Amino acid sequence: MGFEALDGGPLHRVEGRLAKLYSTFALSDEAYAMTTGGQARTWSSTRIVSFQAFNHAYCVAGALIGALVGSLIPPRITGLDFAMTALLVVLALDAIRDRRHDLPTPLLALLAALIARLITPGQMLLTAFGLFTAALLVRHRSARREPARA
Amino acid sequence: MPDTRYLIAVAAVCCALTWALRALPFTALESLRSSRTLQYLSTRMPAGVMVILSLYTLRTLPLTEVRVLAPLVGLAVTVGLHLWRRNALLSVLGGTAVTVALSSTVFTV
Repeated sequence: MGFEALDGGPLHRVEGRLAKLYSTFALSDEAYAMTTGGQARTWSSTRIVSFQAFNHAYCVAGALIGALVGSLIPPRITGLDFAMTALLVVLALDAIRDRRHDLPTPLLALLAALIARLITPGQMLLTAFGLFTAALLVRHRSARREPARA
Repeated sequence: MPDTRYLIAVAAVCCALTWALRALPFTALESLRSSRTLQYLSTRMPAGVMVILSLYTLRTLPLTEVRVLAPLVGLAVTVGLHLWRRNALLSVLGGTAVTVALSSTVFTV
């Protein structure tokens, strides 16, 4: 996703034209989440690209298997889509724990998401990311002014 | 069912757009890497983005109906398991299993 570029993500650590080309294409949410976490910041170029290739293959295989055997799941079995929520919640908890001294950030994100859900239900993601980014920028500016006043 | 050539064309257009959208920010922001503002954002984005994406997947929760309890209990199980064991696979599988079990048996519509 686009926000990946804000920290350079894994891409500036990938070496080689073709590798960069592929790495950009295969920069899914999952690839971003996995390669920007604490330990992954030391991953080598080869490891990042092979992880992305594995992730890509896994995604294609999963979609294929899902399309082929999904129809075998009886319609009375519901709630499987919660797996996506669970995965994102787990990633959120890990990201928050990585910066446990910084609780205002997840709180601002929570607020941005709730406001976006209320005011633009059809464009929740766009509004939420916009509000969250704006809130961070305001925080950044006021934090920079603070030491000057002291 | 649309014909094969049409489907391949759709996939090709999606591929091109996906790549272009993912590449665009890099060409635009390459020179701003040393920016203090962007560094500030980059350290705080991951946690916030994951929180927003989590809530996005929950945007269609039927808040006024009893069956909302299935995903809510699943959510509590996921968070609880993760705070307890810190094992992502266990948390995701556990939370999903509880949600599927509840929504397929107790809270069927």
